[in-house]
Amino acid sequence: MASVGKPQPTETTIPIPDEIPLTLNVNGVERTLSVAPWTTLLDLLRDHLDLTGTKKGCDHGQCGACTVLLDGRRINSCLTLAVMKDGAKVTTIEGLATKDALHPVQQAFIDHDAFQCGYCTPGQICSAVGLIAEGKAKTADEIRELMSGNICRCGAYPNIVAAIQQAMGQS
Amino acid sequence: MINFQYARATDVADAVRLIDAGPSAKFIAGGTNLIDLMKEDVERPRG
Repeated sequence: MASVGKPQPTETTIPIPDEIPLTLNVNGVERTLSVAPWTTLLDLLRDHLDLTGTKKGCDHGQCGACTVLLDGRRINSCLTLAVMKDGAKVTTIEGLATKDALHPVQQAFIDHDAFQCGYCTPGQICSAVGLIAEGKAKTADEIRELMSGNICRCGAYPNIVAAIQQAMGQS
Repeated sequence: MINFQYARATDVADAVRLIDAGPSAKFIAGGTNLIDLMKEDVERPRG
């Protein structure tokens, strides 16, 4: 009788490579750690550094919940391997406020009630900070277009746009 | 995601050498395309 069971692997497995050392400046603090090559920046932040403010939504770069600032630019941390960013400066939602005050975008989100469940909010806020730094958006339409990578299932979009307009006016 | 090895090329010649050495190696560039496809098990670069 032919053997029945698990299909045999059709390709040879490679040995698990050593973890790769890297240094990141995360919210102003130098962090040195070693991670497997397939560790995304998102998983590094959440699972290795316990910075769970950055959210995992779709894990496919479609929702924007994982948006962080990398050397000042907004990126999807779920589609970025941590080992690709050795030496970079990462700012997450935890790193925006100062000791005494919320970041203007954080305060604007509160002022305009720009969230309901809040799951997309860390990504929305980091993306808005990046957007304002880019300086490209002037009108509400442009804000909507340039924030289109950040999905809000609760539909707080009008309030998010209003919050960003307020923060832009202050910067 | 599947297990794989990561190597950073130092220049163009090094990149060509590395991609040549691994029959299923892929350039990652920014990663937003390749990593997504690897998570869906569409792409399986290994080295």
